Amino acid sequence: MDSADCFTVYFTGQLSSVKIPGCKNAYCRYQVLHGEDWERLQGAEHGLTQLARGGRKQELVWNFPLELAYRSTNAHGWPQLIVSVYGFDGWGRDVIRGYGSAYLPTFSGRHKVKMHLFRPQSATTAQAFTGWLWGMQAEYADGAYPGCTEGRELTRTISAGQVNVEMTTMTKDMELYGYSDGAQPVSTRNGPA
Amino acid sequence: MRFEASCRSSCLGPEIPGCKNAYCRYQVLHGEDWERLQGAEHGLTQLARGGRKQELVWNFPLELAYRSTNAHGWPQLIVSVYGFDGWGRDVIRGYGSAYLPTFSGRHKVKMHLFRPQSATTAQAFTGWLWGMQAEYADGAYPGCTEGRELTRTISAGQVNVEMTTMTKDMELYGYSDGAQPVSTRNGPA
Repeated sequence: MDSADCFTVYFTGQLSSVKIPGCKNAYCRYQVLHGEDWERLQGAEHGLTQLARGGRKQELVWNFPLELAYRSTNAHGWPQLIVSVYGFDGWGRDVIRGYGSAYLPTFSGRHKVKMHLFRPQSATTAQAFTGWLWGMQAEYADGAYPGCTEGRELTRTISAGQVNVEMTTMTKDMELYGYSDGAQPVSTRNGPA
Repeated sequence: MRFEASCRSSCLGPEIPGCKNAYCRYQVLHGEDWERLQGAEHGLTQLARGGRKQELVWNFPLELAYRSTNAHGWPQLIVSVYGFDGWGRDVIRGYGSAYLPTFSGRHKVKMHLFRPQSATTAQAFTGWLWGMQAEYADGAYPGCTEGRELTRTISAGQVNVEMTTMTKDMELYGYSDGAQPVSTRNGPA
C-alpha cells in the first residue's frame, strides 16, 4: 500500500507503575482494541507485565515498554488500551485488582495518562464474603468489557487505584487527510496523492 | 463535503460531597446541521462505589464523531448523575452540561453539577423521606438556555471528563479553531 494512501501513527511508551491502596503486588494484562479501518504495523497488541512488588511503601513499578504502530484512513476506531490488573492476596491466590481503559493519545507529543481503575462489586454481601474467602472475586468474563460503552449499566463497581502510563505519539501524513490534531499547523494541502 | 469533528473522552468520575456511590446517564445534543457518524449519543455508566476513601471512578470511554457544514449546534454533553441513598433508593445527585471542546487537543473538563431544590421545605422533607427528590422531567433541560429562570438549584459537586478532540477539514470552511493557523484556502472541494 502506498504510504500516501493512509496515515500512520506510532506509539511508544511504557506502563510505568500502579498504585492501588492496600495492594502490595500486582501484574497487568493489557490489550489494545481498534476499529476496522485500522491495521497494525508493529507491536504486540496484548501481553503481560511482570509481577511487581513495592519497595518500602513505594508504588509498584512495571516499566513495561509498549511500542505500537498503526495505519489507517480514518480516525474512527482510534486504538484504545485496556488493562486488567491482578495480584496475589495474602494466601497466594490470584485475584483481580482493577480494570481500566484509555484511548492512546491522538496528537503528537509526550503524554502522561492516568488510568483510573475500577473492579466489579459482588451482587450480594454473601457473594462478596465467599469470593474473598475462596479467592474468587468478581471479574469480567470479557477482557474488553472495560473499553465498551454499551452495557455498562449492568455492573456495579468499586474504585481501585490507578495505573500510570507514559506514551509518546508520532503521526505521519495525517494532515494529508485534513486532520488537525492540535499539535501542528496544517500545511497547504494538496489532498492524498 | 463537510468538516468532521471527533471527540474521544473518558468520563472519569464524579466528585460529589457526601456521595458514596453514583452512576451517570449521559446524552449528547447537537444542531440540525450535524450528522452523527459514530458513537452512542446516550447511555448509562456503571454504578461506582469509592474504595478506601477514594473518589468514585467510572472511567467510561466515549468516542463520538460528527460531520457538519456549520459550527452552529456544536455537540453538547449533558449528564444526569444518580445514586443510591442509605435506604437503597435511586435518587438524583446532580445535572450538568458542557460543550464538547471545539478545537483539537486534549482537554480536561470539569462539569459542575447542580440539582433542583424543592419548592417548599415540606416538599424537601417528604422528598427526602420517600426517596423522591425533585428532578427534571426533561433530561435535556440542563443543556437549554430558555426557561432556566423557572428553577432554583443547589450545587452538587462536579464530574471530571477528559476529552481529546480532533477536527478534519475545518480550515476548508474558513474556521479557525485556535489550535492552528488557517492555511491558504481553496474552498470546499
